[in-house]
Amino acid sequence: MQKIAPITKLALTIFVTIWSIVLQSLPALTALIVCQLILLAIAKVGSSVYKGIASLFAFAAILAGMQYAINSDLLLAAITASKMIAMTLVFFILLATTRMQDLSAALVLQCHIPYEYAFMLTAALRFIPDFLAESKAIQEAQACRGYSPQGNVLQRFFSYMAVIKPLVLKAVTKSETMALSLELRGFGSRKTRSFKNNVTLALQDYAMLLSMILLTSYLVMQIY
Amino acid sequence: MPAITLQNFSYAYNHPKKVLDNITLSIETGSFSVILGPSGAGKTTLCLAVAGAVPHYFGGSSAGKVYVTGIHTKESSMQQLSLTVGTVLQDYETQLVTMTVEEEVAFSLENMGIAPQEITHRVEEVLDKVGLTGYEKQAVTDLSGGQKQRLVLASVLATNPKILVLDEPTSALDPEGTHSLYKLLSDLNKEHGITILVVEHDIATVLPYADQFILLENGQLIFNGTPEKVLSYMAAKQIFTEAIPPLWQLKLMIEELTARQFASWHTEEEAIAQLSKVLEEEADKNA
Amino acid sequence: MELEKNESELTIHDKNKGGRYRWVTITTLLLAIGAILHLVSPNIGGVTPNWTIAMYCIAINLTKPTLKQSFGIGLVAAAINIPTSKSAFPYGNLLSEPIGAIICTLLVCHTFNMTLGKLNIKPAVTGFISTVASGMTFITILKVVLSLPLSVYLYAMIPVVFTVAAANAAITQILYFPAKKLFDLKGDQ
Ligand SMILES: Nc1ncnc2c1ncn2[C@@H]1O[C@H](COP(=O)(O)OP(=O)(O)OP(=O)(O)O)[C@@H](O)[C@H]1O
Ligand SMILES: [Mg+2]
Repeated sequence: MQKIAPITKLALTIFVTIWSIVLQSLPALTALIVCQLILLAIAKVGSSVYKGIASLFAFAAILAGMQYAINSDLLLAAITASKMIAMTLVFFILLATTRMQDLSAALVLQCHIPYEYAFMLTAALRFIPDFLAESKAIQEAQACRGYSPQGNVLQRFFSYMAVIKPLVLKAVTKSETMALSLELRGFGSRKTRSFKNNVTLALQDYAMLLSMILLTSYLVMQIY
Repeated sequence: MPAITLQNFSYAYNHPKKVLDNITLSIETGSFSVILGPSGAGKTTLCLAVAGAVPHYFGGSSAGKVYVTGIHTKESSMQQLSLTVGTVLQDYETQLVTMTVEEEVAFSLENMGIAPQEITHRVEEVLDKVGLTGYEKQAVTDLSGGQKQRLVLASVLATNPKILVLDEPTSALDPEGTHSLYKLLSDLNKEHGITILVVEHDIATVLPYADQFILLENGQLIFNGTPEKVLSYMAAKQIFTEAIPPLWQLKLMIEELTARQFASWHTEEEAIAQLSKVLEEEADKNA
Repeated sequence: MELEKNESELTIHDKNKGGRYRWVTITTLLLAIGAILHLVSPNIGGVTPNWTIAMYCIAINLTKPTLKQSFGIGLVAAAINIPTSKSAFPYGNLLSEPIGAIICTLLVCHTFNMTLGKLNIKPAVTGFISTVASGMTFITILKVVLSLPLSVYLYAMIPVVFTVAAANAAITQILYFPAKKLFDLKGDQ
């Protein structure tokens, strides 16, 4: 799976979603889910992915339970839950097997998304661990100063805001340095920008794309 | 031709409050210059003027001219200037915007539109220069402070600038990190002929490498010249004396009291060598 | 003498030149914060604010982007939360966040001042309406795609949207002003 071009996997995501919407029978949806789980197994993804998938199943179960409680139609509830799982599972495949950097390079090169947005996506991911560490540090500092996450709703709200406000102010300050540094590094010539990432399509990608299109047309024709 | 020339350059972020006031200065190609001065003197602003961010990024108002390698900065663009001047800002954390080490260096090259194969090659080369070989795939977040600083430097060096401007590059580094960074800068200066301009508070750490000091105060150029001359001037005129390294305070004091002249003390070893020589002479005289 | 004369005349530079990418960087960093809060935020009295929406509302209030830019901001906001959280329904976000961001931009750029007494409540209003717009889009898609019963939609989902919107209004209002003060201090946009 890791060898397949990002754009092919993006297409797979879209097609699986279409299939999940179009398919109305429980066996077909189950088959779709099983196929995806097999793909994940082939891709040898890490255990954290399976944790995420477990919570997805839990969420779907709650949804189904809620629906069953209201109109007591077990089949409909099961179908709803399966649809939900089928169309979300594919995102796990996409993200577990594709580096965000390659995905954003593909979005810029092949989908012609302006580079600023792809940059925002990867740069935000770059800063998440930093801010996470920062927020822990602030939380500890605030705890020392007597803020506590106890009390009534409003008190808890304000003590939480006392952690978030410094974080936001930090972001504002950093944003100036970052904007300046981007310009100092020659950011912005979209016309002349190059990409190191190799996201070109290979033969297998074309084969996969073609089969996905055929399968989709077949499904759509079957139903309408 | 000097690498950097300022002709009667003045600048105000908010017109008309001048932050740099009528500065005329030239920095030779291949030199290692250090900007000194108290907080708020305009050191950062001077760096930004060389990089073109003043006035291109900040607007404001200016008078006079800044030339880098003959390019008139006001008439050029930041992007154009980034090919000549590599700038490292004080907050190095925020200048790193990609996930991994190699991508960070590649980012600068991609901005220039360099071909992918060439990028791979240059990334390797420049990581080797700053001693980060082997860290290519490492996440930027997991680097130490000193390594992050080196990575910023690498990403700036990747585009082969003729001039490197660094604003307090060592303010967040430990003494060891500081020392090895200046060693690296000195190598770049000596071996690759890159003109270096740094802002540094701790004069002692740059003494072994610097060949020009530029003293600013309140936006004005107070004095510039060889480190010896500038330090003597600071002592004589009692300007920014708190920054004079203790060893040099001692040197200047002995010189004043004994009318004896020492050569420059670039390092502690040189000071010890010269002092012990003097002491031996004195001992011989007394004997 | 020639040079002396030159020195006294400061020429003023075009202010708008500065910070071509400030909107990019501030949005990036605020969305990163939004994503971690989304991950770790405890629910406060049963309500979990939608930090992502609150953060892009602040960013939009600060930088006043164009509609095209805000569409992109919305897409990025949705995309960031796909890998970082257990977003159970990514497609909903990919549609709802751009709508929220565009509504926010329309309100910020094309409406008059909103004040309550002396207090400028535009941040709260934009925070509230954007969250409602985004939230309603999200649950409507969820309802249609998963063919959920109308009663679930009316009595379970819509009330949640409005409670979250109220929390977001408070957050946007509280955080906007200190951020704005700092933003204007040095920024030259
Ligand atoms: N972006 C800005 N907008 C307005 N004024 C500024 C800006 N940056 C700096 N200044 C002002 O310009 C003056 C010189 O600042 P500068 O940062 O160049 O000093 P510095 O010598 O680098 O000081 P430090 O040692 O504290 O870094 C200060 O009075 C500062 O308040
Ligand atoms: Mg400074």
